[in-house]
Amino acid sequence: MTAPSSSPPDTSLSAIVLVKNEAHQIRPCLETVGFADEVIVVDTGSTDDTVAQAQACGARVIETEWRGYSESKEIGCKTATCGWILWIDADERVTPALREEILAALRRTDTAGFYIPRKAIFLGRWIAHCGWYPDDVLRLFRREAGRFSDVLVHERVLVDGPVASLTSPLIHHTDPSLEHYLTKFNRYTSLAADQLYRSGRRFRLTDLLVRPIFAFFKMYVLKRGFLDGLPGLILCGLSASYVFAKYAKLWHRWQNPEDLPQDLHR
Amino acid sequence: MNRLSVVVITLNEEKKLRRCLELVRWADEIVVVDSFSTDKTTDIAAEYTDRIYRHPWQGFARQRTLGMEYATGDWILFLDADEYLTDGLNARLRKMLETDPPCDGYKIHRVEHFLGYPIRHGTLNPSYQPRLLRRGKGYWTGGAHAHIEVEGEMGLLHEDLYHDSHNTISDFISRIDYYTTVDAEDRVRQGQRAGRARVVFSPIGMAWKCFIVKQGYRDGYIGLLFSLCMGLYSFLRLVKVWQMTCPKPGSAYDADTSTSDQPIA
Repeated sequence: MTAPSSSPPDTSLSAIVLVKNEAHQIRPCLETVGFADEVIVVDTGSTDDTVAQAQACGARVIETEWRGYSESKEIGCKTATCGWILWIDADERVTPALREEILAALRRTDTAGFYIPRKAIFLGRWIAHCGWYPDDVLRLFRREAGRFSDVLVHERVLVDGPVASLTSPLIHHTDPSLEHYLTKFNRYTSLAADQLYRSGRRFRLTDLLVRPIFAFFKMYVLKRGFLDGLPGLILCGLSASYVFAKYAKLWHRWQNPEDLPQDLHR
Repeated sequence: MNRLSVVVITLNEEKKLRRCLELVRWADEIVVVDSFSTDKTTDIAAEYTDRIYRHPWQGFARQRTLGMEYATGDWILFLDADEYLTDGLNARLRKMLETDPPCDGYKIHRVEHFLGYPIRHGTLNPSYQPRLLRRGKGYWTGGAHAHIEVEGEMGLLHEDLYHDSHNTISDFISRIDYYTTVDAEDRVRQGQRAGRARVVFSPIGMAWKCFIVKQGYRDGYIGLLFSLCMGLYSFLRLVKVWQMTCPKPGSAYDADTSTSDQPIA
């Protein structure tokens, strides 16, 4: 057996970004991870000049077909060569404070992964409550220790080993515009409804009448979304709408059982 | 015998256009105004007419006005690609064009469909939609809810025109994304602002109005779902009013993330 201390710990960092048609924001994103030893962009079929922009920033671009979030992310991890992986999305920005914290964290040998608190900017406004902050996401992990769980939406990293938390936030520009939000809203609620449908989950009338109200109450009252003012109210209303749309789609799926889910593309 | 022109405005309607055009084949002329569809819409249209014109989308009133200018018939029937004539309406139109109709314009009874089910109650759109006009006797105006201006009264046709618009909830949401924007612009112009009370009560009021006041409950479950979806419509419209009237707090957060001039990787 080799003692773990016989070789110096690998403190090199691969930053990975999974993208499709992000030309409008890929540069500002990549600029904030410029401190990484290697920047990998996994492109799943952009039709704008995302790829060219990423290459101009010095990133290694892997072009691949869209095969679902988990698989696309695995591709990124397999390509990486450094000891650590920092996973970020095109709409996220690493602040200078977070950068310093990450660089320090890479030297820790007792930890396999780190949660980073995410600070969401929704339609241009920081949402400090509603259960949105701090949104701890596991984004920094040892390459050997991480893998992605296999669900269609909101996939997570699973890490073998001890996990700790960083304190500086990762900025998340969730939605530049309501139109953008609604496109995403539509896609994700379809995916979520398909997932429920395929797991055999039946529709109940309370799904439409009670669940959305409960979702609103939870965010607006229990998670104190009211402290975020009108933007908080609107966000909570949109979240209730999200729940509503998801279950309305589930109902429609059961009405048309032969109409199997086809729209699993992004 | 009056000559009939049918004006159809289209944008990516390959799935529905055929049914719409098939049922008006008997018309003397079909004019299609397409807003640069990227699917097979114009190929399908070409099987029915060679009078296809492309114009960028400028709203319902403007597209129909363009179609009207290309039309040569004595009467013009305006259709959207997702509308189609029932047999009753078809027969009525043929019959009335044989004589000289008393009015210069007609509104036709339109039955909305939601997820493939007819919604006979609970809709806010007037059930009678302006669709038939004596050429040269009126013009289109208005935004999301365009209408025809004629001198004198518009007549009513009680036979059904089917509107097969929202086949899936995804489809409904992407459509209302467009309609709520146009609608919100109108409201902002009229001075509406979004406040907390309005954001809460306006969607509830809308769902109530559709389900109870307009008797959407008579359509059963689908009426309930439709009423709730209309509540969603009202909510999204207000959110857009809010976006249009409340300036965003600068780009302070971007300053937060500015990095040094390190090269990437």
